[in-house]
Formats: sequence, C-alpha cells, structure tokens
Amino acid sequence: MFVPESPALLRIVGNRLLLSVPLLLIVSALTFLLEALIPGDIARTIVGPQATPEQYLQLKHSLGLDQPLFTRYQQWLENVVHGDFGTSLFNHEPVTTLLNGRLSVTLSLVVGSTLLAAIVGVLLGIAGALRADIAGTAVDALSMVGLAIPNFFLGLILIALFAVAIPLFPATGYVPFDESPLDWARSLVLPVVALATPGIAVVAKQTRDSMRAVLERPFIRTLRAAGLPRRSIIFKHALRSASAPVVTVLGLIFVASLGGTVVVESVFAMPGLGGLAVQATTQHDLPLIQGVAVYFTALVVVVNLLIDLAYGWLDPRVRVE
Amino acid sequence: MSVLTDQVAIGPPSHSHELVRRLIRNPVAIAAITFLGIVTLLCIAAPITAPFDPLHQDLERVLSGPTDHNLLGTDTLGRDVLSRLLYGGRRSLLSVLEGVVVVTALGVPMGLAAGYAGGWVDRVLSKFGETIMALPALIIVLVVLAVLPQNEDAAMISFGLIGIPAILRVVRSATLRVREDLYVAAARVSGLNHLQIVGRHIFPRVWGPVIVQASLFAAYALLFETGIAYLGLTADPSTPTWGGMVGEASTAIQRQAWLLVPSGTLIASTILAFGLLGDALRDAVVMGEGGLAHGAPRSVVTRRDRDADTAEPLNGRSGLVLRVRNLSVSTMRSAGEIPIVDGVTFDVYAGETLGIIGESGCGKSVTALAVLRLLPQGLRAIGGQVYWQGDDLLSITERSFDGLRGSSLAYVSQEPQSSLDPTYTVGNQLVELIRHHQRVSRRKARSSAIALLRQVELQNPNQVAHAYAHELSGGMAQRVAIAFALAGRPKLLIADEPTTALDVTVQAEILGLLRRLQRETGMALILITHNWGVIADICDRAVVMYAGQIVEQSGIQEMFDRPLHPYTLGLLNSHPSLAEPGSRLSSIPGNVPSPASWAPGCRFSPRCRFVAEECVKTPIPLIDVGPGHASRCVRVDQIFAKASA
Amino acid sequence: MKLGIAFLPMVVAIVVAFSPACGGGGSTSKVGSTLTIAEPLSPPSLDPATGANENSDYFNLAYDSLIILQPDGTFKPGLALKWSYATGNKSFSITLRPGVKFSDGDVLDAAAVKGWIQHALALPGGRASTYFSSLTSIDVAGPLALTLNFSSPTPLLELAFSQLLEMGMIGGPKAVAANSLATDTDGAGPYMLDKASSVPGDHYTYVPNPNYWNKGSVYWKKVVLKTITNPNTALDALRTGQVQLAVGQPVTSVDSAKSAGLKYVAPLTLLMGLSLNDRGGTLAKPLGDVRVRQAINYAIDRNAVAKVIGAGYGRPTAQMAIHGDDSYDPALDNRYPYNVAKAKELLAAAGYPNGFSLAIDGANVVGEDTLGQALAGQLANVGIKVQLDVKNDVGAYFQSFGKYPVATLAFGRLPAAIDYQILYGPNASLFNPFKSTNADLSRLYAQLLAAPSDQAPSIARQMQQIVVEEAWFAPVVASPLVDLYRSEIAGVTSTDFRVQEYTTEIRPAG
Repeated sequence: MFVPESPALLRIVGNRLLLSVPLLLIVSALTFLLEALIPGDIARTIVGPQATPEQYLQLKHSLGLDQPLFTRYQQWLENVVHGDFGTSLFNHEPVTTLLNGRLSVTLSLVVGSTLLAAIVGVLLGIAGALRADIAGTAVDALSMVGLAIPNFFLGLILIALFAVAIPLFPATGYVPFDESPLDWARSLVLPVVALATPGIAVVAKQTRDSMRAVLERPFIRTLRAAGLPRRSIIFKHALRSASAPVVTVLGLIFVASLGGTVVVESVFAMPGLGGLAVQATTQHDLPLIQGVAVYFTALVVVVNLLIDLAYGWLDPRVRVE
Repeated sequence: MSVLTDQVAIGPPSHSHELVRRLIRNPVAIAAITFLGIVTLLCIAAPITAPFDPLHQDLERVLSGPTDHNLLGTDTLGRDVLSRLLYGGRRSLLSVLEGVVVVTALGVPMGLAAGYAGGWVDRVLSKFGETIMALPALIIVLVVLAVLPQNEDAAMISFGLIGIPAILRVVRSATLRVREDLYVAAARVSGLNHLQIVGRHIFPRVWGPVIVQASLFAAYALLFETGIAYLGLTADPSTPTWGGMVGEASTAIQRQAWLLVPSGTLIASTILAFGLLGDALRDAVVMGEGGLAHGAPRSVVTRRDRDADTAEPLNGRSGLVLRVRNLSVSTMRSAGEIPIVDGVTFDVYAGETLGIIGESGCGKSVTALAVLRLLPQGLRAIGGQVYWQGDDLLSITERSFDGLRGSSLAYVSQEPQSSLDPTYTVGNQLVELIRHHQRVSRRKARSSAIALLRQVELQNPNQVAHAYAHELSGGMAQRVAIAFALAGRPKLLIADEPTTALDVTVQAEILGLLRRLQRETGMALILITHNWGVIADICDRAVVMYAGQIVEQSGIQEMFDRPLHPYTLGLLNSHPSLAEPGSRLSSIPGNVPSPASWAPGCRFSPRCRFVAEECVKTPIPLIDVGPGHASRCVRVDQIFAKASA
Repeated sequence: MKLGIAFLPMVVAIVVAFSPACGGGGSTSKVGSTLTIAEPLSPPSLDPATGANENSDYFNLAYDSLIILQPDGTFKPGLALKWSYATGNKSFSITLRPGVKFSDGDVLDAAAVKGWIQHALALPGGRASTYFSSLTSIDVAGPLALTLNFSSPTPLLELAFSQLLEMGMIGGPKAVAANSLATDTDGAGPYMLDKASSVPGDHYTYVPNPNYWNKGSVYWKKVVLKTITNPNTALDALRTGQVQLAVGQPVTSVDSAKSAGLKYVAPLTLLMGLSLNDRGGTLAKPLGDVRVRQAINYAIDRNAVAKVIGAGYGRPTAQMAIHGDDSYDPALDNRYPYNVAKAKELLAAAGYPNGFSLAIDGANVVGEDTLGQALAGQLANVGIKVQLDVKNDVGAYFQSFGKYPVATLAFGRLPAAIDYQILYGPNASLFNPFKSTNADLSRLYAQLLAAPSDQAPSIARQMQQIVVEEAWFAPVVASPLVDLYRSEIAGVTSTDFRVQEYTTEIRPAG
C-alpha cells in the first residue's frame, strides 16, 4: 500500500542516503585517528614474545606500520573507493571476506532477536495494556527483571539448562543456513533468546504505554461504538496508531543488539562481527577495525532507513509532511 | 529504551513536596528507595562495615562457599566476597554517578536550548543527537578503552556522552510543549530575559521527566559497567568492582557456581531498583495532572441500587426504544468515589429526537457514555437501569452488549476528525464496518459504503472513500462519522455535540442531515448539546441537566413557551437570540459547582434568585408539573405563577 | 487468559520441532569420521616457517617435520632418515626420505628443503633467524642430501627441525614461490586445509592429503580446529560432544571436566613467576642488591600459590626449569624454602627493614594476573608494597617491559641455549630490558654452543645454578595448560620431555 508518487517519502530516503556518506567518512576517520593513539601494536602480538627485535621490526615494516598515519588513511580511502578494504594485518585474509563470512551470523542473531523482541514484546505489551493494573504492573516488573539480567549471565544459564542438562540445543557454534536450515535455526535459539530478553522488556513496556495512550483516543471509542469486534480494534486499529514509538524502539534495540552480540558471540562461540570487533580492537588490526566500523555504521544507516519507511507506511500523515 | 516514549507527561509546576508525597504513597517506590539507600550507605561506609580488607588473600580458603568465617564466601584468591562487594560498590556506584552526571549535565541544557530556542540551534542539536544515536555504544567505548586502557572513568563518561541524545530528545519535547504556554508568553512580556524564563518557568516543569530518565539511565549505566567488566576491559583485577566480580565469577563458574550469586544478585537488584524507581517517578509526575487515583478499576457494573421509583411498568406508548431509570455514575477521585450523574430518568421513542441540554460539566455526555457502556477509566455506573427491548443493558454481559453496538445503538461524537482512525482511509474503515455488520463480499460492501457516503450528502463519495481523516474538512468528517454510525442500521443514534466543532453554516447542514436521516430510517435520536438553537431546530422533546441531575423535561414547544425551572429560565434568558434587543443581556450569577461541592438540597440553590429555606435542606425530587412536563423545583408554583403571566 | 491459550500450541510445536531427532546435539561428531578440536587461539598465519609454536596444531596436521620428537625426549626419523653434526657444531648434514610428495604433487627433495629454509629466513618476523642466526650456506649434495654450514656453533638443530620448533616442517616449493602459505597449506603431512569449508578466525577444516607417504597413520576423514576462546564454552562443547578435544585450557577447568566424565592431560607447559628485570637497580634501587632479590624468593610460599594457580595440577618450582629440561637441577629446588623471617632479615641487612614500593608490569593471559595478585599478597607480608599494573593487551605488556622493574612471567620450557638467547642473555632485548650481564654465564654459554649434545646438560645446569643464585627471577610454579578430551579418542600424550600433544597421533579409541 505504498504511495510511490509521494515526494516526501522519496525525499526522506534520499536525505538519509546522502547523509550516510559524510557519516561513514567521519566514522572511518575517527576510528583511524583513535587507533593511532592506541599504545601497543599488532606486530608485537603476531611475532610473539620469543622474537628478536629485528624480527619484530621486519614484521612491522612488512605490514606497513612504519608509514605516517595520514598516508595510511589516504591509501585506505583510495582502496575502499575501489571496493578493496585491504587485508587483515593479523591473518592476511581479505577484510571483506572475513566480514562477509561473519555478517550472516551477526545478522541472524540481531535480526532474529529484534524480531523476537518485536513479536513477544508487542504481545506482552498489548496484554499489559488491556488487563487491569495488576497484570500491567506484572508486565512492568517482568520487564524490569528482563532488563536487569546481564545477557552473558542469561546465556550461561540457558546453556546450562537447555544444552547441557537437557540437550535440546547445541551449546556453541553456528551452522550456516545453506548447510542445514534446521540446524541453523537450532543453533540460533539460545543466543537469540539471550540477546532478545532485554529487548522484549523494553518493547513490552513501550507497547503497553503507547497502547494505553491510544486506547484513550476518541477514534477507538467511535469504532467500539460502531460495533467493531475487540480483536479488530486492538490489532488492526489501535496497534497501528501505537506503533510509531514502538518502531523507534525497535530500531534502537537493533543498534543495541549489535553491541550485545559482542558478549553473546563470546559465550556461544559464534563467528560473528561482534567477536571480530573486540578481537580486532585488542589486536590493533587496523584494516579490520576500519572494516568493522564501516559495516556497523552501514547496518545502522540501513536500519534507520527502514524505520523511516516504516513510519511512512504506518502513518499516512507523515507522507505529506 | 523506555526513555524514548514521546508521551512526556507535563503537569503544572511539580512542587517537589507534592511529588515526594505522591511518591511516598507508592509502595514500590518506597522499597526501591530504601534498598538503594541502604546499599549506598553500606558501601560508602565500607571501611567500617566491611569485615575484611578487600585485598587480603587467604590462599587456604580459596573459592569457599558461605561459611561462618566469610559470610558470602571467598573468591579465586581467598578474598572475602562481602568486603569486596562493599568496597566494590563505591567504584560501581561512582561509575553510575559519573554516567548520570554527564548525561544530565550536558543533555538537559542541550534539550532546553533546542526546545526553547528552536531554529538552527534546534536543528544542529537534533542532528548531533541523531548522529550519536547511530553509533553503537559498545564499539565506541571499546575504542576509548583501547586508547585509555582500563580507565573505567573514561568508559563511563563516554557512556554518558552516548546517552545524551535520549535525554536531549525528552527534554526538548517537554520544553516545546511548555514553551507555548500562556504564562511563558506573559513572562516574556513582563520583561524577563530568556535565561530567567528557562530557569524559572520552563525548567521546573521539565525536571520531572528528567529525573525519570536519570533513574532509568542509572539502571543502564550499571548494566553497562557489568558488561565491560565481564569483557575484562576495566580495572586492575585486584581492585573490586561489582562487574569485575561477576567477570571473575564467570571464569570460576565450573568450580564454584555460588560465586556468581552474590555479585549477580546485587547488580540485578540494584538495576531493578533504579528502574522501578524511575517508573514510580514517572507515575508520580503523571499523577500531577488529572485526579485519577492510581489503579482505578475499569468501569464495571456493580450491584444495582434499588431505588423507590423504579416500579414502573414497561408498557407504554408503542415505539419505546430506550428507557433510562435512575442512572447514576460515579468517578474515583483521590478523596474517594463521587457521583457525577445522579438518578437520571428519561424515555426515547422511535422516530423522535430527544435533546439533552446543559452547560459543560452537568453530566450529559457522561450519561450518554454510560448508556453506551463506553465510560472511560475511573468512571462507573453505580445505579439505575437502562432498558432496551426488555433487557437492562447495564446488567447484560459484555459480549451480548457488543452485539448491540452499531446495529442497535450507535454514537457520533463531538470532534469529527479525531474520531476517525488516521492511519486508514475512510473507505477502508467503512467497508470493514459494513462487512462486520452485514457479512457481505468486499465488492458489495464497497458499493454499500459509497451509497452510505452518498446518503450522508457527500458530493464525491469515491474521492472521500480514498481520503484519510486529516484530508477532510470538519463538515465532511462529521458526515463520515455519521455514515460510520449508520453502517449497522441502528435503531437509536446518540449524537454528542455533533455540531459544536463545526462552522455555523455547516452546523445547519449537519442538523438537517440528521433530521432527514431520521425520517428515512425511523431511528430514534438523542442529541446532546449546550446550544438552544440546536434544540429548537430538530428536537421533539428536551431534557435539561444541571449538576448531574435532570432539572426539567418537556416537549420543545412547551419548554420554550413555559419553562418551569429557574435554571431553564435563566438559560433561556441569557441566550442572545431570545433576548430583548437593546436591553442588557442577563446571565446566571455564580459558577457551576463541582461534584464535590454539590449542595445537599437543590443544587442550583446557591445561584437561584428564588431560593428559599425549603430549597436547601433536603434533596429535591422531580415532580410532574404538567402533561409530559416535569421539573425539579419545590417552588414551581410560587415562582412560575408570576413568570407565566 | 485468551492470549495465553493461543500461545500454548505454538510453544508445543516449537519444542517438538527442535527436539533432537536422535543422539546428541553434535550431528558432526561420529567417531572416526570427524575429529573436532577446540583451540583457544586462531593462527595469524598457517605457515609453519613462522615458528609460532603456540599454533602447532594447525601446522602439524598438514606438515610432517624432518625429525620427530618423541614423548621420551628422543628423536626419530620423519621426513629425514639420517642426520648428524660435525664436531664443533658448525655443520649439520641431513639425508631425506625418498618417495615423499607434497599435497600439490611435487616431490620432496634437497632443493625443496633448501628453498624452504631460505623462505623461513626471509619471512618477516619469523623465528628462523633465531635458530639459524649464523647460517652461511646450504650445500645440496644430491637429490636427497644436504648440509648446513654455520659460522658459529649452532646446537639444538634436531630440536629446531622437529615439530617443536617447526623449522623442519617443509612446505612445497610452488606454494613458497606463490607466497600462499599464510592462508593455505601445502605440506607433506597427513591432511590438508579445505579452504572452502573453513572460516578464518573461527574454524579450519582439514581433509586427508591424497599424496601422503604414510597412509596407514591417517585416522580421520575430517579434522576441524575450532577457535573457542571462552573456557566455559569449550567445556560445554566437550560435554555435548560437539568437540572431542579441547587444548590449552586453563587448569581450573579440570575438576569440572573430571566430574563430567572427561579425561585430561596436564602438561606442565609454562614456567610462571616474576622476572626481576631491574637487577642493576636502575628503576628500583633495592633490586640492585642480590639480597633483596633473594628475599623476594624467600618470601613466596610456593606451595600455597602453586595450589591456587595450578589448582592442584601445577608443580612448585624455584628455577626456570623443571624435570625434563636440560638445565634442570633438583638440588636448586630447595635453595629458597619459604621463610618470611629470613626474607625480612635479608631485607634489613640490605637496608630496607620497612620494605619498599615496587611496580610490576602484568599480563592478563594464562592466569598471570591472578599470579601477580597472589604474589603481591605474599610480598606484602614482608613489607614490599606492590603496585600491579595488568595490561589488557599482550603487546602493551611487552612494550612496557622496560618501564617497570619487575614483570610477571609465563615462559615456555626451552633448552638453556635458547633461554640464554631469548630470556636472560645480554641480547635478549625483550625479556632482559636492562641488559643484565654475567661473565660466568657468557663463558658457559660459549661452551654450551660448541658442546656435543650429551655434554650439554651439565653445562646447562651450571648456568641455571648461577641464575638461581643471583636470583634473577622469582619462579613460582610450573603450570599446566590442560588438554581435556572425551573417552572416544586416544593418543593424547604429554610427558615432561614432550609436553605438547602431537595432533597427528590422535586416533579413535578402542
């Protein structure tokens, strides 16, 4: 039900895409700069403690680390424009290969957890909005508890319960989708639940607040008086009007989950971008750090774009403004 | 993050002692504050309260569970867990404080500036906020920690900086709402400069949401601190922090699972406490406006209060559609339950239009909503019956009543545009309604919808069907609303001030439409209004309400010719078109009383120029004063013997 | 609650769909078909010429070495059939095994070995320059014979060419020329890398090498090396059967592993303690006095700390060597028995009756940070106030070596000659940042280089005696990095003479 001829929507999309270019530039420059200030370097990490200083310097030179910073940044930019993100200083693999290989893992995790948070959170929030205040307070309290439990703690408990004690799901690892869709899904269940739990809490709360506000609005009363069944009023009408703040929250949950994957991927030994980010940072693997930063930022831009489009779809008034 | 809700509650300036008082009444808030207070005090006083030096190692007692010697057990180097928790709290709570201080010290002024100054300041700050929001927080802090290794202060300050956009947005939207208020404009006029205005008028009304956000942010800051400690990114491992202790415990989880419990539970509880406190604060701020007590139950029907004059047989004129007897509605105030509609009784017949007239606050809309079982939260019907085809609508099940909605009883409200769902086209909603009531195919329903729109005299029904509520004028929207109401072919339509929000010319059209529709369909019509012109235009009979009661009811002509209640008289006399040209327009002195201050006797007595001793002591019943004419005045004979002359 | 009831069938359906069809969670772990090993690190490079011993599992699978170090410490032929030193250790001759091919089909010959050694020397940051520092020429005497000539005595070449120091793990000439060995394999070992089913940094899959010369000793259809950095995760993976072997695990996992029915070996891989670098007293004046350094050694209760750090599987030690190392002298173990009073006495004699402050550079790997904290507690008992700075990043820890008088230490077990080069000799620039020297040590070192292998140990012991007497270190415990494994596999061996398991020896049990 798009209104493709709506110029406002195109303008929003265009704006965002245009803004993303300077954003990516800023992020990459900042990362480069910060990296340069970091003490320690990757040559030392690779070459190990038992190497002589000559060996260390040799490696450093071969990695181009003795060049001035600005030259290295320029070089990187030039290569990026041609689609070449360079190779990891650590293991010589092309950065794009490394990132792409892991992108599907992180996307599966983050998209899965955002979806789970959306579905379960919205349903819980609606339940909390409809019931009298006892259930509403219960939703609030549960929400808070869900937020308060650190996700690695939750992950460890989930593994202990559902992978070791009752072997329902694998304790670690990720099975690619093309290898086996069923195993892929199974390997995602526990980490997605661990990642999604705080998101469920936040979405439930936001949905409840929004729904409660919308249910007080006059048009709900009109529809009710006109005889529409409750299910239709709640799920078709009220939910749609209540959804804008929920969509905003979902976008933020997506971004927050990107950060959450760092810990969850470690607990579940999954080869995702989050773990790569930490590894790259602690190892000072600059091309890899840059690649991760750019990927993350691009992901966030895409998500924000989707949110803008969702707004347009959900609320026709936005298309005109 | 729930910090993002755009529903920001603004009340009148939240006086802090009022806020505190409201907070105290909330048991959850008390528990949270107490818990946080105790933990903070114990931690600050760690040098006194901790049984051991947190660095003291006892290599013989490594990883013990709780014992007499170490109440909460020991860690991987035999150090006392309780002592480390107490000392660790100082570091962790300090970290939380750092984050909260940064986010409020920077976010609040930015939000105030953005909301108050507007223009380019607003644009720049909002863009700034959006940019920061686009960056994943953990990655930024990872980089900061890589530059300043193990510097927890730097990490928490960065975290605070990243949290600014959320507070900025909340403060900004709060400021925007307040900025337009009249007394801010007045302050400008009176010569205060911007800073004074912000400080004296805007900030006091905004700090409520700010502390809500601060409390919630504290919860997140603690959660974050735990996370980075788990990743091993902070602190010299000897120095205790809560997050660090959890990190250490997770490495020892296979050897001594207990170790995770004290730190994990304390962290989760503290986060929980901050979060619950934030919620309680938000409720307290919201309660600043409206008088609804917390936890008011939904409007449910309670036991019937049997009244004296209900024993009226149901036979009467044919065509009786609705019979209301002694309907009473109450509301929950913080002082308790107060009636706002009191013993309302009337009948409605097919094909006739009954008008209910009164000033704002007299209870006429509430009566209608009670009949329709659409009372909002906090109001409930506490007495009387509403008979429809033999059944008391107030006592049938919710489900049965829903079956009557739209098909037997229908409703049109005052604000046409806000009574339509803004996210669907008009046609979409109308088709949905028609299909619900008539179980026809979509195509048939569409053509019925167009026909219905034509029936309510819309010139371009097709165009209207594809329009959204905000694209229609007031008059068109009201016609659509009437079409909605008619979709189920109801036998009774209740129209609550249907023309109040419309232009004068459109008003006449809508009224004409209603009259015509009534004649076409034979339905009964209840018209609620404060406008005598409307009454005069299309009503057959009228009921006058004052202070929750019916004070007079009669046929229209009779009411205009021979009003028999001082209030009705006063109203008619103060209506411009009924006044004598050239003479001073009279008005009723005094104000409409609030339900809490209703007089025990005649409720109009404080303002009545005919008041006498018999009026004030006992409640006044409704008395017949003529055929089809009743009045709630004990002095009718004395007063109107003169007036009718 | 209407909503609740609607949920129930969904939940039931999900549980049913995800219940294991049969067997456990590891669908890829049938015995004999796939061996999955959990490794704590991924390799920066797959090229054995880097000499990175910590990544040996990755190399072993694809590269046989010239000489094989056996669990009892002796050597047996690998790709080389015979080898020998000329007197004075200045030339070393090798005779190769005939009929050996690389996985790309090329033949192993003396030219390939020569090319390989040159490749190793040219590799930036590779360790070949440590072992072949005085190499002058390589003479190819025939298709299967070559001789290495050195300008100075170079002992320990059998070790260098074994799977321990990895210089003899020859790669194919084509791959050397193409410079592809960092990311792919081309060796004469039982397996080769299957790049298509590997994700660098996460898991590396090896499949049998069709050209392998010793087909009878290929025990698996597939070997997967999976990187799992979190020890809890590794343990869970073992328990569920997703991996059969987890190497390099912290010793603290052993007890839980045992109670889960897993087996273990606890090779004493690391010598841990303090490196008292500032023996000249430059940054910390007290350390310039040998009595202070000795006091530190007396102040440490090695048994107690070893129990905590080694979790019962470590071995306390007072020297930077244990049984199995050439410089190990059992008499030295009792040189500094735990004696707080004696420590205080020595400190007072040196002029520090009230102790002093001491800054220590710490790493946060393999439990060094815990060790540092424990030792700080011990030293506090004699009045030495320790300021322990644990670095999050190993690189930062190394870079800071010269800025602190003392550093925590976790060093591998090496022959004395290499220890002298890397750990405490005047040219060991990383681990000897203040360039401490000792004339006797230098003299003994020169002797060691030229000595035949049966005489080397006694010289090495003399060197260790000097190091201990001068208290250049405060060694505390020989700590294991344990291997945990399921009973379905066998061949996981570790001895004092060959601590690390040799991946190619692992086979299905029974």
